[in-house]
Amino acid sequence: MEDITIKTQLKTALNPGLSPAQNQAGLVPAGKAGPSFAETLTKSIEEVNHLQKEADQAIEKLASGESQNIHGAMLAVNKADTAFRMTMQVRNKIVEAYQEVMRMQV
Amino acid sequence: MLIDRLLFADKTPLVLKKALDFQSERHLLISSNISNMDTPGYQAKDIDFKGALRTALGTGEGLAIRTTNRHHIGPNSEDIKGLQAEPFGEPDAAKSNGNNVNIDKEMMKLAENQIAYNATIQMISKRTSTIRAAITENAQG
Repeated sequence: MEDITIKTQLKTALNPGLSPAQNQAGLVPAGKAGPSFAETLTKSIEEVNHLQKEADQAIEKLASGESQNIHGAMLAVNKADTAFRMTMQVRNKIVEAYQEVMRMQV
Repeated sequence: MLIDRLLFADKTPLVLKKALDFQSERHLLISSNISNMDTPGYQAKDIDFKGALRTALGTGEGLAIRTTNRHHIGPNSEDIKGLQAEPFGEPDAAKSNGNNVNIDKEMMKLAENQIAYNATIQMISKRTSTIRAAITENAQG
């Protein structure tokens, strides 16, 4: 029987050439696990930290007249700020999910 | 105070604060140069705070001092806090009344300084808003 739900149609529209059957086969091969959740989290926090350091460096260079690149510094600061807020919201959602599970009646 | 440690934990906010101090001082100097464009015997003044900041940050010309050990003496936040830049007389040729204000040059410096001041303000407020977002755990903060 042909699956004609909106969900499936959206999936085919977003991943052309991937039928539901192919999608199943295209999953991560068993036995070859990706990085753990903790690793992913640590890595993204380190990335945010790195972005903030880069932004600070750009600010210092601009303030001391070493570079005249105002827009570059602005972009770096904005990038660091957005990355930080994004990571913070992800962390908030994780804590929220944990609390939701903790509140659950067993 | 706790809030000072939070907002001025590393040298970047100090640099920004000092840059704002110098830029507003420079604004006063340029304004007084413009007001005195017809005063006989007046010499135009300016400050070079960027050179002073570079020296304090250790990124200036020549050999930079670096602290690779905590016993080393080198650029630190106290250096940046106590930074001073002395106004100097501009070396332009004087007119017949002994006044050497070049109005076009002063206007140009005024515009440049204004842009730099606004940029510094924006960066300091962006940095502070990141810290505020961390305090309130709220992306809108």
